[in-house]
Amino acid sequence: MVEVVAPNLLEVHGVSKSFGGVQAVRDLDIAVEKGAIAAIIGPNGAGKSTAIDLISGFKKPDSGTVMFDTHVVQGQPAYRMSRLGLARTFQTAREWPRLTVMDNMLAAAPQLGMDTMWRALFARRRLASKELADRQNARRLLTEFGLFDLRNELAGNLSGGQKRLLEFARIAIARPRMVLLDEPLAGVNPVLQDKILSAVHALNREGITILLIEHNLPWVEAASDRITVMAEGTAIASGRLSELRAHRGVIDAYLGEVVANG
Amino acid sequence: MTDFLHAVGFGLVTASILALATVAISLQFSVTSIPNLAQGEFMMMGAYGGLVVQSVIQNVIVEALAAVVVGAAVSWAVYRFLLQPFVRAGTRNTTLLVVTLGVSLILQNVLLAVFGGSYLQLKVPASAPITVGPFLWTIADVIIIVAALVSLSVVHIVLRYTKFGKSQRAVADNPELARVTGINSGQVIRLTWLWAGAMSGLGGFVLGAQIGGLEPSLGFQFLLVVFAAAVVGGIGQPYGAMLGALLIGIAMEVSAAYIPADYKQGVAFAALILTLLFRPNGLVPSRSRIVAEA
Amino acid sequence: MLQYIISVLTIGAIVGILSLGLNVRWGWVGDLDLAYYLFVAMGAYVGGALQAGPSQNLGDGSGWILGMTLPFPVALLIGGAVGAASAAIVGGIALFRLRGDYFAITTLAFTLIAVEFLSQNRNIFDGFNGVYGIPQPFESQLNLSQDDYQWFFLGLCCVLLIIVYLILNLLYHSAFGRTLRAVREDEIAAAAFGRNVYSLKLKAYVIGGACAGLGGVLFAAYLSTWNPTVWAPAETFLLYAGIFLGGQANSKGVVIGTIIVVVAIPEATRFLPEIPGHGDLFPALHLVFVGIVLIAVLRFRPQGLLPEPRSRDRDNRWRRKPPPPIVEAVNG
Repeated sequence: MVEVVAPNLLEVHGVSKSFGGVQAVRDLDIAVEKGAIAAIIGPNGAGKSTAIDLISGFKKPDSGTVMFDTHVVQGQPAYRMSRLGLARTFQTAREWPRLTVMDNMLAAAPQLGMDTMWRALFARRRLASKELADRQNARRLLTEFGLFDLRNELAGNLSGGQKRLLEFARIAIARPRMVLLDEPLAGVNPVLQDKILSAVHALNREGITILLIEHNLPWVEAASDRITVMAEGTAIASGRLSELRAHRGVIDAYLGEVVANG
Repeated sequence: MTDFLHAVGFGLVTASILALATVAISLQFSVTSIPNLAQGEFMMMGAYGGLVVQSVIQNVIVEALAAVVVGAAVSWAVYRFLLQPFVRAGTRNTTLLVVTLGVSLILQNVLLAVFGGSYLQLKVPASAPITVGPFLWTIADVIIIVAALVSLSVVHIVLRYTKFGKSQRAVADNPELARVTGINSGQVIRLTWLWAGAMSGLGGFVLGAQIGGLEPSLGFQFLLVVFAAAVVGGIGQPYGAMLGALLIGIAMEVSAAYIPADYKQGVAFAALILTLLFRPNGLVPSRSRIVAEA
Repeated sequence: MLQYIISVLTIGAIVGILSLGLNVRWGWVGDLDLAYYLFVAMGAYVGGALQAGPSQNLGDGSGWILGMTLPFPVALLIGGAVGAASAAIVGGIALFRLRGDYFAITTLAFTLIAVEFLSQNRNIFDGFNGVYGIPQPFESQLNLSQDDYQWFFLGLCCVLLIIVYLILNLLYHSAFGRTLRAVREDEIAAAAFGRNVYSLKLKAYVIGGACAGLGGVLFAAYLSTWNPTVWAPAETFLLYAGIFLGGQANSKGVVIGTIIVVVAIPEATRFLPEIPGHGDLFPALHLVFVGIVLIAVLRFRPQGLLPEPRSRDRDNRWRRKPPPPIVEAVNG
């Protein structure tokens, strides 16, 4: 890995990806400052989710660079990205359904090399003290995210909104430096949108930089300070939503349709 | 060179048997996505059905028809009464695989309990080898090849030109979309299992005819060769299955001309593993089911 | 009668060890492995040959390799290691890209290739004859009567079963076990949280292989022979029937379930009158019954007799003195 001085926590330069001749992402540039809550918006099929997959290592870009902190990371497998401190969520909440809520938290916590076979057999005392610390931390976070009473429930039995909150709580205990949120409102009862919003702010207050994708513009505006608009696989503008409303290309590509549809 | 051509000739016979079973499993997989480990037993149920009829009437056509009917009935009944409840309950595919494993265990041992474990002779019209072009075949071989060609033509005609074939392909491509467009997908799936069972029964019968006898575990031993052909061709793709059967059948018999014949199944299994590792979608990838991003 | 019960219990303890190993693969990490008896066979062949001594030289190149007269404990450890090492090779290939059904079919293909290869090649483990004349562990040192020795062997199998059970229990309840279960539940999410899924699955596969190898050495010692007829793929299916019946991922459950399926059901039919000319009838009906039990369990009680244990967090300290929640509790 090459050491580079970067003012931003995440910098994406000229990333492209095509699937069987279809160009899903084309020459994409995105930069996210440390500590920010940034968002990507755009019409369906603009390549937003693919962009997240490419940044988080779940898909390999055909070309371009992804720089996270001082590391050039494109092409690294997802688990290594996560270990560098770049976590992500998915369009559906991917809880571990037949583990309890508490076990979901403990399994998401950074393992720091403690989850090996040999430690399980020969370093049980150190393991126990780490587990106790994780457990305390998990109890605090579950309380914060309103899930404490459900901690012994199997995660698969939670409602859609509760699963989302568990997802945030897992991110909080994993303590990444940055998280990519892929449509955090998908599958969530609209009355819970505000709770998800406060969860996003809660994560950010824990010091986690956020890049999110979402369709619901008022919610995005409330959540985020900097918005990038994607259309046809590339970023066409970025700034605050109020600035973007005046942007000709953005209106043509996206907002016009939203405004017209009410 | 003659040896090689003769081996290709044997390969065409093996490929014909394989094609029946492979197209059957691909049709069935295309609509239900269950890798059916009981397929070999469907073949054997059909073949033993033919054997029972043989004790009454010695007529190859009647025996084969009996195999078709028994195979179809068993396949339909297994889907309707055992698998469908699991599918409706949203059971995961891996668990469904275990269910078909249970079905295989039951059917194979029902045959063992009824017919015993020893080899039972399946009599077919015997003849001295005859020369057909560059190939050396018996009458039974020719019958097998003709049976396969007729069945595969039927598959092609049904899939391309009938209303049922169009519905079948629609369900295979996208079950949700098919349902929205008013296709009774439940019925299409059950009929596909019936159809696949018929072809499996015939496949089991011609397998027994080529070997000259039957034993209950023959189907399971043959099943993985069928899987190899299905995977090489592109699983869930009837036309790919034909290609896969041709390639695996010829590869097995030609390899037997050069390495000990005991390893010819190993050739098929190796092809299965290598295909899954390096070209998991097979030679003719199905549009709706991509195993892994290349 | 007593001797008969002892021998049944001995087989029960051995298949108990085998089922615990397979349960690591399927119950803990969710890989439907159909090659399990391949690793049992590796342990049994190698462990057996290491104790049975050099095979008779008939001059035609047949016989088995590794013929030595090592003491049982050494053979046991080597057999376990061979099971683990062969699992590392097969798993290393099969787990690299394949999951679910495709993984299952591939492992089945590996087993069938191995059965074919070892059956046909008389110069590795003597083809269909296999390794025979495997001595009974410690028999020559102990000088016990036949009856007392049977008790001793049962005790040996039970001690090993308990050791395997305790070690696996420790692993299951550790962070390692929890991570494996997270991989079982959703490996993509596990990767997103920094878990190396391939490496974890391979570790589970190798642990299973080690148990298979150990059990194989014991099994071969019990039978005093090992050949291709005892490790057909159907043996693995029986273990699965036991695991599903007893309760996936529940160690006690899988041992009990496997003993019911592999030992208790066939032994129960042993007292039925034999029908002349139908020697295959009762073994066949046993397997029909096992198939029916397997399907019925999957349909009506998929968690098995003893469901997977659920860990409980019992500390209620936060409930008594809750800090102000940032997000209010969500109902519904």
